[in-house]
Parts: sequence; structure tokens; C-alpha cells
Amino acid sequence: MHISEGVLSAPVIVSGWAVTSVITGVALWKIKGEELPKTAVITSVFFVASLIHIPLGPFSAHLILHGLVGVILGYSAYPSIFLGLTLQAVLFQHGGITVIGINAVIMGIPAIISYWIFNFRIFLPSTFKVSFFGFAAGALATLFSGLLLALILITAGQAFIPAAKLALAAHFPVMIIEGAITAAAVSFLSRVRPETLNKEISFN
Amino acid sequence: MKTIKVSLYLFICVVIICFSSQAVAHRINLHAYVEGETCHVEASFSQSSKVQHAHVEVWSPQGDKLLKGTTDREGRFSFKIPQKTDLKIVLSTRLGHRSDLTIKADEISRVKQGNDPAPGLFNGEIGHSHHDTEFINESGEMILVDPDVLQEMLGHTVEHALDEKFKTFYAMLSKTQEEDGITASRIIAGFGYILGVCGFVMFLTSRKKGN
Repeated sequence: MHISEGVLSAPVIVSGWAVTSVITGVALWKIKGEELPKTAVITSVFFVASLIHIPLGPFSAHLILHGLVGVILGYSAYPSIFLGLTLQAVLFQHGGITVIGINAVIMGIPAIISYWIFNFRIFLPSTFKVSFFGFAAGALATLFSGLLLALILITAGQAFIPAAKLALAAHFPVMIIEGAITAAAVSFLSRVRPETLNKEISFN
Repeated sequence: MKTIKVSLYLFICVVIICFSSQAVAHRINLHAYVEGETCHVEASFSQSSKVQHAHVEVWSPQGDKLLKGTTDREGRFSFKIPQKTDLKIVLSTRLGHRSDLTIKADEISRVKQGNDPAPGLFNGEIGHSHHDTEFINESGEMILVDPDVLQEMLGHTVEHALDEKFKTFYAMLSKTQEEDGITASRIIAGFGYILGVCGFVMFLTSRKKGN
């Protein structure tokens, strides 16, 4: 899911940085001090998740876990993912330094969307709702990232439909695995440490 | 108790992630080596995952596209070296991965030319200078070989033999370069940075609260 350096044009890269700085700035302004240890742990999980390679199908894909980051951290997921991507770029050479902004858009925005999706669990009166919405949040975050990636690759001269098909085909196994991991993690947390997950009616 | 359970769970997750045998990078490892007139390019995401059907372009230092092609199922692409200059090899996939490297001109020993002068030497088509070296060919006839031609012929033969000898060595060398990017120390360094940054933000937020 990481776009490499040299693929995108300068205006796209600058727009990526602009969007990332605005969302990161706002999220950091709103972050509460007591949430920071949790943010650090989840950022660490995101940082190493990309090292887990999923050897399925002809494509090379790895775990992202941005859905899980979004569900647990809410809006703070964006700065968390930004920091994780920066360290991945510097220490693992994933993507590149100039494209951190646009890669943060590709992974951060779906993370926030998955936070909203997970909040919809209040409308489902079932005992499995946490797992169900956890799975949906994890899987859909990957789906939205694939679509965003395809959308951004249009600016690099690729047609949307084939690029989107390719991105989704490559990430279909990842989607399922991400959904399963997110569901398992949130249902575990909701049992042993429910306060780790944001309050059910918190939409701000 | 809950705190201990959660910490243990997270600790186990992180340990599994760190020491998983599947822990491999997701960047393109691109390497190329010259073997005689041919340049071999190999691209992989990891040892088990090759970059298949990726687009490869070869550019001259002046910015002219010299040739293009795609990698095979093994992530390999070979081409005849078109000119003895620096060659920039750019590999890109359709999902926005890209990597490039440059082969220096002095790594290129020879360039594909129309005809190798080596064949025909033993057919007697050789200039008769005073310093020609005498050879006896398989059918017992004496032939004369120009020293320059002889030198060139020997050069080619030795180079070819060395290429053959070092073929496995080149491949081995490129493999060792493959996985050098990620080490446990880098992963631990990453954790350190994350803790540091979060600690710094905590410090700032505590100051904000204090004011």
C-alpha cells in the first residue's frame, strides 16, 4: 500500500503533505495526555505490522492494521500512522521520505473512517456486535485504502478501474486477515479493558 | 489484574511480530549484475516473493530511454548492454512501487557488437604480417594468427571463462545484499523513537494543562 518515491507528481505530493499536516495538527491539538501511552503502544504495533508478509496469491502484500489503529485511537490514529510511516520510511525504506504525506492520507483517512464504522455498533443489539464491527472496520479500512491508492494513481497516468481492481485483488487476503485480527483484538479488549476502546457514543 | 493481562497480550503480540519468520520487508530489492555483454536484473520483495511482471526501463545518462521490458515470473529481466555508459535501471509496478539503480560504465566490460571477431580465426582468414604466430589446427594444417587478433581472442576467452566461473558468485553476492535493510536493532530503534515522541507530546500536553 506504500507508494514509492518518483511515482507521483509534485502537486500530488504537496497536497498529500498539506492534508496530512492539517489533520495531524488538529488531532494533536485535541489529544489528551492520558491517551498517549495507549497511542505509543498502538503506534508500535502499526510500525511493525508492515513486516508481516502475507504470502498469498501472486501479489506481495503485508499487514497494515490501520483499521485497528483507527478503532482504538479514534482521531489520534492519524498522527500515530504518520509517525509509524515516517519510521517505516526511515528505518525500513518502505515508500520514501517525500511520499510520507500521501501515504499517511492513504492509510490515515480510512483509519478514521473505520473508527466511525466501529462506533455504529451502538445500533446493533447483539453480543457479537464488537467482533462484527471490529471485522467490518478492519476489512473496510483496507478496502478504502485500496480505492484511495487507485484514485491517487490516476494522477500518475493510470486508469482508475484497472488500478483499483489490481489493488483490491492484491489486498483481498489482507482484507480478510485484517478484519479477523481487528475483530479478535477489539473483542478481547472489550472484555478485559473496555475503557481502551472509545466510548460507544463518542462521535467527537 | 486486567492491566497485567492486557500488557501480557500486547507483549506477546509484539514478540510474535518481531520474531516471526515471515518478517520481511515490503520494499523492492533491486539488483543487477553484468555478465559479459548481458546485464541481469533481479527484483524481489523478499526471498520468497519476486516482483513479477514489473515494468523495467533502461535510461542513458543523457535521459534517453534505451530499452524497456518486463520481469518474468522469477522477477528477472536480462538485456544486452546497448552502450558503454552509466545505465540507469528503473523498475516500477502498477501499484505504485518503484525502485532504481545505476550500473556504472566501468562495470561494463564489453558491449554487444555486430560480429564477434573470434569465430573464423581457425578458418585461415587471417592477415599475414611478419609477426604472426604459427598454429597448427585440428586437421594438421599450419595457420598464422595476427598477434592483435590473438590477444583479442584470448581476452574474450578468458573473460567468458571468468563470467562462467563467477556466475554463482554474482548471484550469491546479490542475495546477501537483499535482506540487509531490516535488523532487530532497527525495529527496537523504531520503538524507541515512538516512545520518545509520545513522551515529548506528553510533556507538551502536561505543560498546556499546567498553564
